[in-house]
Parts: sequence; structure tokens; C-alpha cells
Amino acid sequence: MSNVTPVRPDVNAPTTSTTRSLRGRRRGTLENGQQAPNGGERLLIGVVLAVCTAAVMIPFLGIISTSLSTSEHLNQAGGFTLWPDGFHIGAYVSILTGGVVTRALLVSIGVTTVGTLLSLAVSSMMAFGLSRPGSLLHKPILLVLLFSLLFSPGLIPLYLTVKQVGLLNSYWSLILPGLISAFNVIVLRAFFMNIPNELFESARLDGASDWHIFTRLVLPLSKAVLAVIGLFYAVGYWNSFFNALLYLSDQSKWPLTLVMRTYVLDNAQLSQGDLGAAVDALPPQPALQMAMLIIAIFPILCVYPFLQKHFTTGMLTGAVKG
Amino acid sequence: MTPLSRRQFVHASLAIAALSGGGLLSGCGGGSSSDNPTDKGGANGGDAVPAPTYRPLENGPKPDIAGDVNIPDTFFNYPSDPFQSVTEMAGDGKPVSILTQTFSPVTAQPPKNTAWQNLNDKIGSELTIQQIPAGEYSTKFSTTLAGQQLPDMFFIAEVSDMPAMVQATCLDLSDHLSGDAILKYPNLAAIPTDAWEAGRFGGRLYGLPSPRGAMSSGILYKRDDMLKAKGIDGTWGSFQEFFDLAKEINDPRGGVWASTSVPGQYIKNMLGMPNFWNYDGKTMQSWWMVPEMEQALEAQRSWVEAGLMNPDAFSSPNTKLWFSTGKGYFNPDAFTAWAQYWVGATSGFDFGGCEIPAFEGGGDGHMWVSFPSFGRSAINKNAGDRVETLLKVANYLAAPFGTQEFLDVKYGKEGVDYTLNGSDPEPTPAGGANSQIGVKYIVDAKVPNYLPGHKESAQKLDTLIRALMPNALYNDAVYLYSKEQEKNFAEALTEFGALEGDIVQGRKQVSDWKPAADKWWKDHGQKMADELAQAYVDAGRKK
Repeated sequence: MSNVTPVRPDVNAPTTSTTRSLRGRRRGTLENGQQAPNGGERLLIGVVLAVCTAAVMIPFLGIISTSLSTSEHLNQAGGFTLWPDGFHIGAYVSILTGGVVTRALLVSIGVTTVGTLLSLAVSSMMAFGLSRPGSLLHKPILLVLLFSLLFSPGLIPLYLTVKQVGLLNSYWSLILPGLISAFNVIVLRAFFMNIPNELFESARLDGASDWHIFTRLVLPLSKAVLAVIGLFYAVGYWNSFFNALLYLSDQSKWPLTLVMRTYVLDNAQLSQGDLGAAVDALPPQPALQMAMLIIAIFPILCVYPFLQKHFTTGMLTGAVKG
Repeated sequence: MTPLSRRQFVHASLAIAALSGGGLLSGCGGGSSSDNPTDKGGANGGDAVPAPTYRPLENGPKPDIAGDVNIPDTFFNYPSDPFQSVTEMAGDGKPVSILTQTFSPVTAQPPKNTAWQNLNDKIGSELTIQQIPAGEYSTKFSTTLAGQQLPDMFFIAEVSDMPAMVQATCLDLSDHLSGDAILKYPNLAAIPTDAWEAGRFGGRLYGLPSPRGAMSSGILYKRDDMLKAKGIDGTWGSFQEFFDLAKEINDPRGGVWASTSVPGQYIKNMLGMPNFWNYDGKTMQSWWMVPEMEQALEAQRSWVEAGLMNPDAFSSPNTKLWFSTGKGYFNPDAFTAWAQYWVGATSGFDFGGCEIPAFEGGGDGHMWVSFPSFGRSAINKNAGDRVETLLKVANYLAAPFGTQEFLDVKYGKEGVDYTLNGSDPEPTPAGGANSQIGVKYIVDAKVPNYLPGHKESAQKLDTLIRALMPNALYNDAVYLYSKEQEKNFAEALTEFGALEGDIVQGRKQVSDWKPAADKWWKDHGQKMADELAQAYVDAGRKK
């Protein structure tokens, strides 16, 4: 098996061809023969893109600025500001020293890490099995998988199942019910099916078992799609709050997103909801709420740039050719 | 993994029904109508037991201005020597599990949460509380019900076929609470009688209330300081005068609008429209069907057309903040918000509530009195062997204002969660958060009028509520049961709400209202009204 060298399949062929073609085209003419946009058109495109970018970035800037502002400044600004009146990290300090959020952050990181690794392992093994035509019962299993993509079991049956297998109030209840995403398995399967069959034949001639082919040949060739699917799983686990709400009765086990929900969303209802006795504490400042949002999205933002380069290859190859 | 038992199947069915039909009414303040509290031997069987005796604490603190069943007691300061209303340990040393909802951020757990830990120590049992965000409570309740995982005490979410669910799941407390039996639990006996009706099903008492009533009724707040600065006294005799005043003070260029949002309920109150349902001696009259509804729509539409409210009022309302920061003169809110507006108030800040004149002038309008209780909680049928302990715990949690137990429940531990300013408790930053553990939705005391450091404002509240209550309108169908209402009211509420929004914002005409209302009346409303009227008579209610 040692002489089986991971070889990159021809998955990049279209990209390479396109690059060559672009290099060779006449100046001012696109590959398909259309004229390249002139200065005015490019300006218009630039303006449209700038507006779109601003539409995304301005709210984000507002969230950061609000999280760093003082109460006085926010009151003057009506609760949301695009520029802070200084650099006040009081909201972050109070959140992170409270104990609830830091614990929830650790829970989220743990569940996301373990869940993503397990999901990737199980999904890729399942996809590999389903991608090989000779696998036992691979067609019925594929049909069941597709069925689960179209129909969900429903809340109560799922809850009862989790209860019956003894997962209530366990961290595993946040991972196992969503361990396999049918969509992700299908994307992985499509990618694996594009790996040239000759490579498998050559490996078999060298005496490699299915497990060796999977671990030494398929996985190294599939880093791009695994990165993308891993990101999908990670974002899914990170953002998930509903399973925790249903299955965890011990709220010290709650992940960050569920804690964040009580800070950000439910307080929006304070004006309509019952506030009870006259001793209720004030709702958290908008700065506190925005700081929670930043803390919640920061880890995913950190991971994203490292995986972005795999997106085009990982997604388009698997999806389009599948 | 074991197969589902028959009992589990029944619970799952109830939960699925709850998920499919319940929840929509949960925003109505708990207990809009989907129960059968006063059924005397009807579909749910059983004669109605007497309501719990109402008896305020005999040796409790004396208020500065005494209220009555509807008017809250006013206290200018917390008693310097709080009354001890519970003399023996309430708990039995074993944990008491609780499922409740919360509108606040989730709190830390004991022992880090000193307020919660203090309560555990004082009660003598560990309270294991699940605080579920209010928006998700219905779902959590339904699944927990299906899995037979309901704890010892739980807040009951709005579900369809409530009587069946309650009778299958909750402990019948009638023998412990009906009539004078409740006097064994003096703090529970200090809860007004009408609040207990929220927990009556099939004539029996299953629920523990969180009394609200007049104090959670909606009013229109006004910024007295801002009006005074403009030389305006803030009174008017008709809608037209109110409208003219609003136009005069409206200043969109300066970022200050007459109102934070459209004062729809205030206008309806001016018109004397029914508070949801009005029993006219023969049948129930719906607010959607009265001719004044079109007048209310036209008045609201003209308010919007004149640009008298914050332009973000429909898209992203932040009305409390706008009102607090002087971006609006008028703000619709409930009496319970009065204390909140004083927290963090700057110097010179002052506000009050608006009296309600008749729409055309020459008389009074009519405030709508809110639900007597914020929903109801129950004790699990499976916890029947501990019922006395659990009622003692409830008795502790329902301790009225002025008692030491009230401080324990609402403020936490002295010196850590709150400090005393004179005799008034002031929450510390940590204590303000720690004490929001959601037990006030399990059972609560009557809401007091207590604004420490703001004696004049407390007097202002007392004066206003006394002025409004004599003309106030009650929902005559509150806690009455109608099968038709259970099936179709929530949907109608959504549809009429959307139609009202469309008309007020100019997307539809006022004339579009009547055909829609007539159709609803023909399809469902008439039947609903008949059933509710019959339930009203059966319950022995009189006007």
C-alpha cells in the first residue's frame, strides 16, 4: 500500500481550461465573444457591488459599534449606532465574567468539535459505501437516505426516540440526532464517484483493502470537499439551539446559541410580555446583546477564511457532476 | 429501547394536539379562553367547588394607600421590619423540580447564583428550575408532556383541549385550596379570588395563579416633563383634541414624534369598544363586530397618515427606549411598566398615564382590564404524595409585598443580591440578574404599587388607576370555554390583526373590514358567541 501515491483527480480540469482560455482571449473581449464592459459599465457594476457590500457590512459595523458603546450614547442614538463613542469593552467583560456565557461557550466549542469530527467520519464512510456500485444494499440505503431528505420524523417522535435511548439531558442528544445530514452525504458521494476508477483498480492490484482505499486514497483526495462539508456541519452544530432546548433539562449544559437567544430575542418581547412585579431588573443594554452576537459569531468567522479556498472546488465539483 | 406504552401514546397524542393547535394564544396574556373553568358538570364532569377564600395577611404590613381587590396597595417604602409570613420550613429536604418560562436572560446556577441558593436554603428544598425562553415554551412543554417528563411543578402552556390535558396530567388541588381550606396557606389565600378561576377546569381547581388584573392593563403613557416644557397640561376632552395636540407637538425633523407607535388600544378605549367579548344580557358581543371598530380603524389610519408616530413603529419597534429617551411623547404600555421607566431615569424625567375621555367628548372612555392571572401553573399528578410540601413551597413563592419571603423571592440575598437604602432593597448588578429565575410564573403575589424614591409618581399611579377602574371594561368571556373558540379564535385573531395592520398602514380600505367581520361572524363568530353566552350563564356570572 505504501506505493499508492495520492494523486489529485481531474477535478480541476475545467478550472485550468478556463484559466488558459481567459489568458488567451483578445483584449476587450470575453471568452464567449461578448465585449468586455466599458468604463461606465464597470463603474455601474462597481457601484452595485459597493451597495451590496455596504448592505452586508453596515449592519455588521453597527453590531460591533453598538457592542462597544456606552449607555448614554446608545440612548441618544435610539439603541443602535454605527460608530461608538469610544472603545468600551464593559459589555464583553460583564458577559464573560458572569460564568453562564463562558460555560456555554465551552459547551458549544466541545459539541461543535466532537460533532463535526463524528459527522464527518460517519458521513464520509457512508458516502464512500454508497458511491461504490458493488456495496451491499447501497441502492435501498440510498433511497432511505433520500427519503429522510424529504420527510422529517416530526418533533414528538424524535423526542420520544431520544428519550427511549436514554439521551435526555446528555450532551450526546445535541450530536447524535443530527449526526448525518442526507444532503452532505449526497454531496460527498457525488465527489467520491468522480474519483477515477483506475485509481481504485490500481490500489486493489497493490492489495489494498476497502478500509485502506478509503483512508489512504479517498480521504486524502477529498480534502476540499471534506473541508466544505466539515464547515457545513460545524456551522450547523454551532448554530443549533433547538435540540438543547428540547433535550436538556439542566440549563448549565446549554450551548451558547440558546443562552444568546435568551439575551437577544426574548428581551425584544419585554414590551409586549408580562414583566410582572415592579422589581424586575432592566433589560440588558443593547451593547450587551450585540456583544453576545459578536461572541457567538466570532469562532465561525475565524474558521471561515481558512476553508474558503476549498469552497469552489469542494462544492461545485461534488454538486455539478453529481 | 422499549416500545411506547398506552399511557405514553396518550400523552404523545395530547402533545401533538398541543403543538398543532396551541401556542397561538400564548401571547394573549395567558388564559385567553381555551379552558373550561366554570363548567358545572358539563363535558368535563364534576360540580364546581367553591373558590378559595380571599384573605389578605392579617398581620401583614400596612400600605401607605390601601387598595382593594382590584386596586393595588401603595407602599412608599419597604417596611423596615419585614413581616415573616412563613414560620416553618416549607420544603421537605428533597428537590423540587420546576419547569417555567422566562422573559429574561438565563441565570447562573446555584451556588454561583446566590439569590437562587438563598431561596433553596430558606425553603429547605433544592429548587431545580428549568427556565425556558417564553417564545419556545409551548414547544418545550408539548415535548416534555409527550415524554412524560413534566416536573413536580410547571407552568401550563396554552394548548388545545386544555381540560383533557389538565385532567390527565395535573393534580386536582380542590381539596387543598377550595373555600377555607386555603387558609392553611396564608400567602396563597392573599391572592384575589378571580385569579384562581384561571386554574379551574371542569369545576375543579387545578391551577396556581400569578395575579395581574388591573396592574397589567394597558394604558397610554405620557412624558409629563416634555409636555410641561412646551406649556401643555396633557389633558384633552376628545379624540379630535388629542389628535390636534399630537400634531402640534410632533417634530419628525427633530427626531421626536407624538407617539412611539399608533395608540390603537387607547382609541378603542375612547370609543368604549368591548374588551374582546361583552355579554349584553343575551349573547356575547365581539369587539370585531361593533360599528365603533371602523371608527377606530379610521382614527388609527389618520394617525399614521399624519405621521404622528415613529416611522420604525411597524418594522422594528423599540418603544420603551424611544419613550425613555424622549423620542416620543406618548407610549402605549401596561401599568406594570411604570416602575421600569424610573430605573436609570435622568434628572428632570417625569411621566404619567393618560386619562381616557370619550371619543366624541362629553364623557369617559373605558380602559380594558387585563386578565386576572398570567396563565396558571400546576402540580404534577405523579407528585401527589408531596402535595402539601409543594403547596407550602408555592405559599413561600407567593409571599406578598412587605414580607421577608418577598425579599427572598424577588431580590435574593441581602448584602449580595441587594443592599438596603434605608429600608428599600436596591438590587446589585449581579442580584438583578440572579433573581430572575422565573418562579413568578409558577405562582406570584398580588402586584403592589411600589416605586422606591418616587413617592409622587406612586401617588400619580394610584390616582390614575382609581380614576380608570370605575369605568373599566372586563372581558366577559375570560376563562369561559367554547369549543368553537378553541378551534377558530386564534386564527381569527391573526387574520384580523393582519387586516387591521393593512388598513391602518393604508394598504387596504376601512371599508374592507365589515365584509371580513361579517364573514367571520357567519362562519364562526355567531357560534362562538352563543357557546360563550351559554357558558357565562352556566357559570352563574352576572353583570
